[in-house]
Amino acid sequence: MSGGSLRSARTQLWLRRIVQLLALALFLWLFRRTAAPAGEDYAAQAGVAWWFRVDPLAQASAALAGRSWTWLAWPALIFLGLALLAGRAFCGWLCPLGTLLDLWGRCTGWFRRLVWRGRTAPAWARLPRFAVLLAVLLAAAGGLQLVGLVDPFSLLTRGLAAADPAIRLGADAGSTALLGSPVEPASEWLYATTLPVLSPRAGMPALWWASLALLGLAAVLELVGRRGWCRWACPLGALYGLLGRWAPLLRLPGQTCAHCGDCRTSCDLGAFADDGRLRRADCTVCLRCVASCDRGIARVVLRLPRPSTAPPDPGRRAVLIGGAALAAAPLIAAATPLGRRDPPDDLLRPPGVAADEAGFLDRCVRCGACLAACPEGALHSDGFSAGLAGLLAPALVPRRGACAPDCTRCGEVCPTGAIPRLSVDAKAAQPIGLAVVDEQRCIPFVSEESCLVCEEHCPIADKAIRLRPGPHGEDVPHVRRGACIGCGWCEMVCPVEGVAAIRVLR
Amino acid sequence: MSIDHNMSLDHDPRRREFLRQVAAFTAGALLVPPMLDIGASAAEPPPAPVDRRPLLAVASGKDWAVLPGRALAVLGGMGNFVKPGQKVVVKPNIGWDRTPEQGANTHPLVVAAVVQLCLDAGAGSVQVFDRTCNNRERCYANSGIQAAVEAIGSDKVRIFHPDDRRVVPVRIAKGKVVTEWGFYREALECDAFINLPVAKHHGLSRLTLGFKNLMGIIGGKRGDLHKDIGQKLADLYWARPVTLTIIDATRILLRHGPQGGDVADVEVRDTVIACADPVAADVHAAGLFGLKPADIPWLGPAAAAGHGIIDPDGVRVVQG
Repeated sequence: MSGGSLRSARTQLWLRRIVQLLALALFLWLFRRTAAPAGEDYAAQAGVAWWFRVDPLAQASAALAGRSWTWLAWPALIFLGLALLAGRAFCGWLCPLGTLLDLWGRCTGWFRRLVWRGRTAPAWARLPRFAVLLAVLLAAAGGLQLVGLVDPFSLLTRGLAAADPAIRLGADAGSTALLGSPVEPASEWLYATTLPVLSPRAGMPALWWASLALLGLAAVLELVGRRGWCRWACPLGALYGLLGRWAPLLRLPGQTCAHCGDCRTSCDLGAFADDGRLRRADCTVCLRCVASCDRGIARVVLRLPRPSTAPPDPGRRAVLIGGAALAAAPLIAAATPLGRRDPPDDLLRPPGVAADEAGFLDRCVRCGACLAACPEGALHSDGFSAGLAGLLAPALVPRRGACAPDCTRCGEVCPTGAIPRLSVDAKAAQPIGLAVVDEQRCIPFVSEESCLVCEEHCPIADKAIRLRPGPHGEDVPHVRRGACIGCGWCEMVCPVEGVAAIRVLR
Repeated sequence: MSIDHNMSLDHDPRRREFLRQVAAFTAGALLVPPMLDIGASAAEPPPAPVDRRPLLAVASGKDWAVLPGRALAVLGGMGNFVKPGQKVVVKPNIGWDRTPEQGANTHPLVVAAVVQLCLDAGAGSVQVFDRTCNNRERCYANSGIQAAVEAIGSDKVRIFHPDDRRVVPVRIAKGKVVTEWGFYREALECDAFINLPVAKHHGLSRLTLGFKNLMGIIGGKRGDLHKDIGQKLADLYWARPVTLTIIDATRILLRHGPQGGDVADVEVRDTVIACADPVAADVHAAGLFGLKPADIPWLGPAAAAGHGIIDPDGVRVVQG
């Protein structure tokens, strides 16, 4: 009996690994397509959004803060249902960040074992993630959208959106340093194949380091414990764990048996408490315990569970009180000027949201999909321009990239509808801002030199920028209110050094 | 056989002889290229009434796909410019995210025809590219040029997006204002460079024609060139002399250039101009807009630099 079931458990374990790798590959493939050059039908390319559409935490935050429901969230309902059936199985089987951490953990296991020598973090360390979950949802209800700081897919998508140009630019810089020129001589080959060439103005996205640092946090936690991020920090895992307390997909028995204790040591998330009972909120159905059990005692079955088997943790009350305080902190912050402040005139948002800045910030889960999708490199993470409420929300930075008038990718990729899906015509009808000429700096205004690069590049067929005779004999630009859609093309191409002499303001 | 209005009938016999040579050459009967007088400096001594002025070909007609071939036939065929096995760059204007009807880019039929002429002349490779102003994928797609070039289906033809990592700094010793600028390696490392602009209005430089089209083979911050653009374009030319200029005037954008967008600004002219002299080609194309050489900022500096002939009568215009 033991031989057969052992083999089948091993097979299941491998099956899980294959599913994990496929899900990770799917995520990366969808991301690559989302960031890929424009195709005929971008909606079919915008797949990375699906990870946020199935994410009940992101969708709940957006719905709470926006006080509205979007049909985009229906896949999240299905995953909520799956969590009711299978608890945190998502974490063990599908989560791309979890899989990446498993791979990272395999590479760094020696370090973890060397430093910690079998010591484990105290049980109460598993509780703050519930406080984080509570804090995110409470803050959202209070009008402060923070989920993007902690949602695992946000960490991953934003991190990749930052890592992508970092890798390319780093490779160029490295080869320039070593070989004297970028990517030569390898470029011949790369160039002939499908090397994605950099857009002329592409550079590192704003706050790229913050995105990488947040992803790096998960990587660092892996050095402390296997799936450390998932054990101690992930609010989505916490949500799935809470939902899964009564899930009928069970590992049995509900505690370690009197024998070897291999299940405890093999467990991915260290889900067994000190007294041997299984914390169901930590079981990802990873099947390691089943595969490690020589006696065939450990098994995963479908049956109605007994009441919770979660043991009372020491210090739980203190942690809950602390957690509640932590959860309240964003609410308090939201009430201060730090929370939400009037953004400066030059803080532009993606197309279609200018009319309702507050609603946009409520619905935006900072997933970073639009940053990856924007083919012009125009969208960048903002810092505190709009206060805490605007942290890491996308801003349109024309000096780095302008909004192509007939591109609607950001709206198509947005998983919460924070950026609306607009037709090209509807987008033109909702200006992002208005271009304003700085007559103190504009070249033909202040000198006898001609310029008019802004007029040349103005994409409006009838020209939102027109020429009129200037003070020095050269024609000067003037912006026609009503025709300008605030795309920022003029600001991007303005040859004046530093701050452009024509700027789009809200 | 039509004759341009500014050309005397006296020249006709020689032209017949020339066309006969052309026909013989294109039939492959003649191994030596015909005399073309390209770059000839002055006329013959008085006694001989032979017109030795360089040729400028103008082809007109409704079938735009054949116009480049007819214009080139006047110039002795593409074989005069592209030798077997040579690396050729064809540089159309693909700068804007506009459709062919909007007249902001070279027409795809004209581009494909020129590429095919190069292949027929035995080109070893033909590379087609432009540094676009708008999103490069959409420019290539919506201009129709990518599809037209790929439809040729030859593995010698490559249409691609230039990569800023392949910009080579070029010292321009003869430049008066621009003394160094980055050029795409592909543009520098070809045997024949065919400039294939579309004729259209431009807010700053009145028109954009051949010289302005060369801004698509350079890297760097192109907006900086707009101050004193005429001299700067004349300077840049030193780094990449043009083998042949073919100007697409099948339809010309009269207003709101260089990117237009409104077909009401576009006028159909059914014309393609070809000339080995880049200045003469631009001068003639400017004439389509009713403009004189002095109206176009780069023509004076370019002629002064010796890049070509600015006098409209300095070339012999032949209808193809």
